[in-house]
Formats: sequence, C-alpha cells, structure tokens
Amino acid sequence: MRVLVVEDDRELASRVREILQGSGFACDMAHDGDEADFLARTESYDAVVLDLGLPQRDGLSVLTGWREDNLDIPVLILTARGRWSEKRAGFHAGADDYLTKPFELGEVVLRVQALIRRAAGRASPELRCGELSLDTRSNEVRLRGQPVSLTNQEFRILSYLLHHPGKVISRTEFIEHVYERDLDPDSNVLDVLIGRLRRKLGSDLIETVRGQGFRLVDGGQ
Amino acid sequence: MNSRSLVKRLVALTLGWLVLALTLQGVVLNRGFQEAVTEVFDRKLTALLQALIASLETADDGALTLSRPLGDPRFEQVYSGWYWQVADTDGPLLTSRSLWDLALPYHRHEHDIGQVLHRSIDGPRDQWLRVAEQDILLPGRVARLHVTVAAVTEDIDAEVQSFQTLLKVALVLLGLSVLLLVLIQVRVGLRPLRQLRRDLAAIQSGHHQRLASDYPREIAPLTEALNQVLDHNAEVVRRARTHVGNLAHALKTPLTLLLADAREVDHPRARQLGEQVQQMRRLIDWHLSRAAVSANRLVGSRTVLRPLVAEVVDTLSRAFAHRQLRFSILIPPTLVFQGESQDLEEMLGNLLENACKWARGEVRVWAQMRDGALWVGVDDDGTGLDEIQAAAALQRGKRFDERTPGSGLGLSIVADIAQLYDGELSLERAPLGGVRAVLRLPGAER
Repeated sequence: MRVLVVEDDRELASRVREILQGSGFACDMAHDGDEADFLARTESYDAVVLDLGLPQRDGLSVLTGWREDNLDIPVLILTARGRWSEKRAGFHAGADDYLTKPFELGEVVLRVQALIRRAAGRASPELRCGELSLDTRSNEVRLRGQPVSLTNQEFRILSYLLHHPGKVISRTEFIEHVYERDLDPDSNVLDVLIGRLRRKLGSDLIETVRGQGFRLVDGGQ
Repeated sequence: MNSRSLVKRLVALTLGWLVLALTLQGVVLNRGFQEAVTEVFDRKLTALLQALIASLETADDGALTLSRPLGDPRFEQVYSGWYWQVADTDGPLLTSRSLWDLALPYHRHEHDIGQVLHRSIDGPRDQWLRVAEQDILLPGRVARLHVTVAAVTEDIDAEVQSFQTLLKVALVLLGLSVLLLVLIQVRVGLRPLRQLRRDLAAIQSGHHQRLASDYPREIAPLTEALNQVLDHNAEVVRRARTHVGNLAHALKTPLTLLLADAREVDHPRARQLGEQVQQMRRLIDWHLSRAAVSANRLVGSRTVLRPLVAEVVDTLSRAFAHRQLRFSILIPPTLVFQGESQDLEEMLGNLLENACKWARGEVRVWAQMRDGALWVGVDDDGTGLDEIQAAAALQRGKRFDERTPGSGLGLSIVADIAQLYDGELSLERAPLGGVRAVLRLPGAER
C-alpha cells in the first residue's frame, strides 16, 4: 500500500512517514499544495494524508480539484482547525476522514488502514484469504492460526495482494503501490520477494499469470 | 428615566407656555370687556344726570325742586340701589326717595364746573355703586351744586360674570385642543425614535444585523453612528476570532510533534509529557470555542433549526457513507435557535458525529419547544452508556470508550457552548437503546 503524506511541517511529515513505513506502507512526502497535486495526479497512491494549512495552495482546494477530476483516492485530512464548520468544509470538499491536531501518530496509521480497507470494500479490520489472515490493526500475519514472520518488503507485497484477492496484479502495479517514488527496483527484486513469500506461505498461494502478473488465490477452493 | 422623558419635557413646556398665555389673554379680555360694559353703564348714568340737571328748578322760596321726576321707578323704591342727590357744600338739598334718610358722599370744589365725573363708591347697605357726578351753578344761586346719580353695579357684575364664565370655558377648550394637538405632534414627531427602539430590539433578538437607513435627517447621524459601531463590533469580533484561531492553530503542529516524541520513549517523564500535551490541547480547544461563542453577545442572532440539522446530517451521511446509517429528522420547520448558527452547528455537529460513531444503524434528531426553551435531542441505537459514564463523558476531554476514534472533547465542548447560552447538555438512555443527548437552548417559534 502506498500513501502520500502532505504536510508543510517537514518534521511532522517525516514522523508520519516513519510510522506509516513502520506499519508496512510505502510512503511519499509533499510539502506544499502544488507538489501534492502533481504527485497525486502522476503517481498511484492508495491513500493520501493531507494537511489543510499548506503553503501555495491550501489542502481544501487541492482536494476539491481532485474530486472534480474524479480522482477518488481516499483522503485523510489533518488539520489544526477542529471546529465543526471546518470539518464540514473538509467533508464537503470530499475528505473521507478527519484528524485534528494534535493527534497520536498511531491514530494516523489506524485511520489510513481503515480508509484503505473501506476503499477495497472490506469492513472488518481482519483481511482473510483461505487459511491466511492479516490483522490490519496489529499487522500480524497468520497462516492456519500460526503467526508468520515477514520482512517489511514481503509484508507490503502480501498486504497489497490481500487487499485485492483474486485480482491479477501486474508488475507495474506492484512497483507503483509498494515502493516509494525514488526507488526504482528492477523486476528481479519482485520475483525474489514473491519466491520468499511462497516459501513461507506455501507455493500454491500466489499464482503467476504468465505475461500479466501475480494473483492471490484462495487455497481452500 | 421618566423625569427625563422627551415627551414629558415637550408637553410640560407647551403646557406651561399655554397656561401663561391663556391666563394673560383671559385677564386682558376680561378687563377690556369690563371697561366696555362700565362705559356703557356710565353713559346711561350721564344721560340720567343730564336729565336730572335739566329738570332742576329753584322755587320762589329758594328751595330746589324737580320740575319733572326721573322716569325710572327704581328711584322711588327705598334702597333700591338707584339714587340721585343734589347737595351744596353744607349737605344734601334734594334726594331721591330711594335714598330715604341717607345721603351719598359729596365733595367740595373738587373739580371744574360742568365736568362729568364717574367713579365707584360704597353705598348704603353695602351696595357697590357706580356714580356720575357734576358740579353746576344754577341761576339765582351763589353756591355751586353737586349733583350725583348713582346706581348699583349688579347688572354690570352679572354681565361681566357671565362673560367671564364664557371666557373661561372658551379658553379652557382652546387650551385643551392645543394640548391635544401638541400630544399628537409629539407622538408623530417622536415616531422615528420608537422605530429606532424597535429596530434595536430586533438587532438584539437577531432579526436584523444593522439599522435601516430611512431615518429622518435629525436622527440619521445617530443611526449611522450606531451602524458604524455595530459594524466595528462585528469586525473586532471577527478579527479577535481570527487571531485567537491563528495562535491556537499555530500551536497545534508543534504539540503533535511533542506528543510524538513523548510516545517514542517509554519513561514516566515521557508519559507525563504526553499528559501535559493533551492538557494543553484541551485548554486550547476549550478557550478557542469559548472565544468564538462569547465574543458576540451584544448583537443577537437567530438560526432556523431544521435546515442546519439537515445540512449537518447530509455532511455526516457522506462521511459515514460506509456505515449505511438511517437518519431521521423530527423537527418542526418553525423552530428557531436564538444564537449563532456556527455555535449551533458546532454543538449539533459534535453530537451527531458522536451518535454516528456509536450507532449501529439509526440516528434520530428531534426538537421541540417546552417551557419556553428549545430542546434538541440526538438519539442513537448504539450500545448505550450507563449513567456514571454519562457523567464522566461530560468531564472535559474524558474519553468514554477508547475503542471509538475521536478526541473525546466533542461532548464537553458542546456542554460549554450550551452553558454560554444559559442552556445545558444532558445524557440519558435513548428509546432506541443507545444514548440520547439532549440540549436545552434559548429558542422560539417563528
């Protein structure tokens, strides 16, 4: 899952990015409205964390622009202004959730996870596929009830697959949603990671669709 | 206040002037009439005097006689009030029968011969007499004769009195009509002032923002100045809110970082720091909402309840679209909250957002006027709070379920705002099963 963090305070932006990365998200940063607008329109994000008080273009107008152009990435708004009238403006501009400063960093992770789940049409915080499960609150992966230890990279790939079960995911899509912008891994890395996941979770869980990409299959069916 | 009433001042001034002018007029008219009546009477007396003198004869023995009696029979009735007398320096020589044994006072060498004089004297039996007198010389007599004709002034007095009565009635009527006119004039003249008072009341109750501009030239400068004060007030309030807001919001990003730092370290001091940051956040939010609410109590405002609730519900049903909640609004369209829409929105937004977080499937908003107050309720069908939790929920910033996201500040801010409007927030069990939050607020029906 790849998230764009838009926050003009660089210190806070880095903190949010750190905690999101720690929870298995690929994370890019933008520090003003124009940069955020450019990135959201050119890259593929699964969610945006958007501060409203931005230099150059404020968050609300950036968000309004996205919604007008049918760019419907889930957006979590961060703002110092907690009055209801300000919240209303945020929701009307098309925000999906709202977090008032000062907030606990952990709360950002919970909200972003919930937004991504919601966008994928999943209500429960636990993602399941056959005997495999991922608790998005604790990032714990279990196979037949037993915890599985994964590296951050492996987790990102598995998490993306679990959010889109049964769907064929191309190499490009993986790279777009699992890696940060400045990283451009060669496709071998992906094959290596998929291989490792297959070793840990069983070889029939991730199917290779020749010429197209990979697919998570429900082993039980 | 009453002693400084403009109406009283104007009426008192007019009344004083009116009484003075009418009294003076009455006195002058009365005097004039009296003089005119007396003059007519005097002329009559002079005619009688002339007739008397013309009929005076000296008899052969030197005694005075009347060749012809004066026609009026009242000269024959004793003490009738009509008298005549002819006297020389030694005393009366000849008198009317009506004088009987009395005499009119007479004077010696007072004036020229032939000159007719008029005066008033005290007569017999306390009669007030009007007198015409003349000194004459008769052929065959050395001494001058003093001839007097007198008559009671009863007739004059009666005439004057009836005139006075008439005069009084006329003057009082005149005075009353002028007074009435003045009252009407003052009422009409001061109408813009009453209009001003009504307009100010309308501003206080929130029907208007400024005074109308169609006041008369004399009052227009006042209303313009008032409008300027109102505008200035609104501007000051707006600026103060912006400044407080900017300060508060500028503090919040550093606070978020402090909180993040505090959470990173597992140390009692770090936990303490985290608590302090939360405390600061609560204080900022509390003062922020207070500054926004209490800043503008001079100019009243009114907010129609239903459209605002509908808007809040619309916003929330979008924000909570994934929950597929049913919203019902049971609010008569006539209900009005006597306060600012921002404050009402803040309260209802927080309450409804809470209800949405807690509800399983349904959120209900209702309102009614009862005991002169507006009651607004938000019900949900969530798990419900017991009473202890309800009380704790109103404690500032206390979260009553850590699992439901949210600052926990919502309810206490709502309670604070309600309190600033002399209202209150209470929590009870809703018929739907969850929580019923009830606001008592100043309100009215349209």
